[in-house]
Amino acid sequence: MKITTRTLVIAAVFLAITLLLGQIPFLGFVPMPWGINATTLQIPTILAGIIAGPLGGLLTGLGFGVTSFIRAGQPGGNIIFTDPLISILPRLFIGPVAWAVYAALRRRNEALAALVGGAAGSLTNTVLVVGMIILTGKLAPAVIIPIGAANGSGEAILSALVTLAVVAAWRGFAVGRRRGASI
Amino acid sequence: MSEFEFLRNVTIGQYLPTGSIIHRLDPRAKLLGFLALLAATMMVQGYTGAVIVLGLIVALTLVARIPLRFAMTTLRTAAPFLLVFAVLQLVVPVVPQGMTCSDVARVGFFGVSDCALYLVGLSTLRFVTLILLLGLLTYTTAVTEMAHGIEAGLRPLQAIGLPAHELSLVATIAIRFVPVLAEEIERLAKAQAARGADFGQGAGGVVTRVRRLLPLMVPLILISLRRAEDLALAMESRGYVGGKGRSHFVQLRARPADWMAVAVALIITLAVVRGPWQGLDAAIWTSIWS
Repeated sequence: MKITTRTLVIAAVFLAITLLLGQIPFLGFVPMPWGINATTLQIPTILAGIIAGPLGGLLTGLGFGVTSFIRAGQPGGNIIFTDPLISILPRLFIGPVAWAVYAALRRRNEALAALVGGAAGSLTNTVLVVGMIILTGKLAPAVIIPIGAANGSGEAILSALVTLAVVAAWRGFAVGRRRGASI
Repeated sequence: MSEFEFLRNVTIGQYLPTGSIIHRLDPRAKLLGFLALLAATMMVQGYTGAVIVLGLIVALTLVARIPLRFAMTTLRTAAPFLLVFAVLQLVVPVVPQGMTCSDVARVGFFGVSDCALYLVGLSTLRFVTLILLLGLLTYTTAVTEMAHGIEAGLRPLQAIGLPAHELSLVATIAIRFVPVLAEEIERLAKAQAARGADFGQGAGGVVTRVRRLLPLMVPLILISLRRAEDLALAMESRGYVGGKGRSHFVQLRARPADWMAVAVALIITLAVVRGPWQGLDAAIWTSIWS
């Protein structure tokens, strides 16, 4: 398959945003009312999938995975991501899934497509990361599934809202009576 | 104004130039060696093997002239996580099939079995090894060097359709864009703060919090997209056609030492994975518990 220059560059720029978000606490993590910090790091990968297509999402996801793998070995890193099966593999699927859901629903209602696409991309991340943690035998399902559910639900809501706002602004469609910056 | 300075701490991994033998290796050799040792760490069974791998990586860290205290910083910050992890694994262990367990201690509902103890030690050892190994890679390899290494290392696989050049281009553009976008965020944050935005950790529900995030997130992503479209147009109008027949500014040349390093890493991996360590382990284990 031929990768266009545009796909490459958009994937690269979303990867740059991922790198930045991880370093800026109030952008990278949003505290949830139930006491857990939901991360926003998967959002650029979701958007890369929706805006640049499945290949773009795959490339950004790969970069996201590799960074989270390398950062796991840095001070303050999350040790669970020192396993590339957990840090890299699941991230490859975020973009393509977000793109597939968005593309499937787009004809019906674009706002709904963006909302559901964002949530689907985020849930892909959560489900696959939790799944790999269980498959590699790192933690028992009884321990990791509640943690994953608490984190994943917050991240899915967050991703859905941000994806909707960005896609609405980028495509210039109205959500309800609001349009552009007023969303 | 320091709360608006985001540029300073943007790092992926910390590079520590000490000019050691390992620093001077060809990045392709370093990456291949890293992958071999990574495979060894993840596939090794039993304590004896795991301790051997850990010892090797500590030895390599010393050869790279990385101060051990420096390498330990990550372990210190990871210690609380390791502890939580260990407790969780002790209380709710993941015991593979075919292992017979008996209780070592039991308080009411919660029991700790010998299997759990065995597995927790092993998993902690593996985490420590992986953290040190990742540290070793980033301390001895600069990010640009890694990008060159990945591209050159994957070039032979281009024949089977792997987009090696494209992968490295994405990495290079992303790294190049980080400071530009950091500056952009600074500008946006100041502009929104001047309009009375509060980026602090105020109270509020999920929707309120997300609303606080959007005035930065949305313009940042839209500006980045515009820049990306401009860059793509500029590249294409200058005749960029991808990796085919492109010459490279940095030419990597493998020296005998690089081949040696790769060979040694591969031999170690094979020895660790295929070696008779598990039998040795079982012997030590039974002598302790009987």
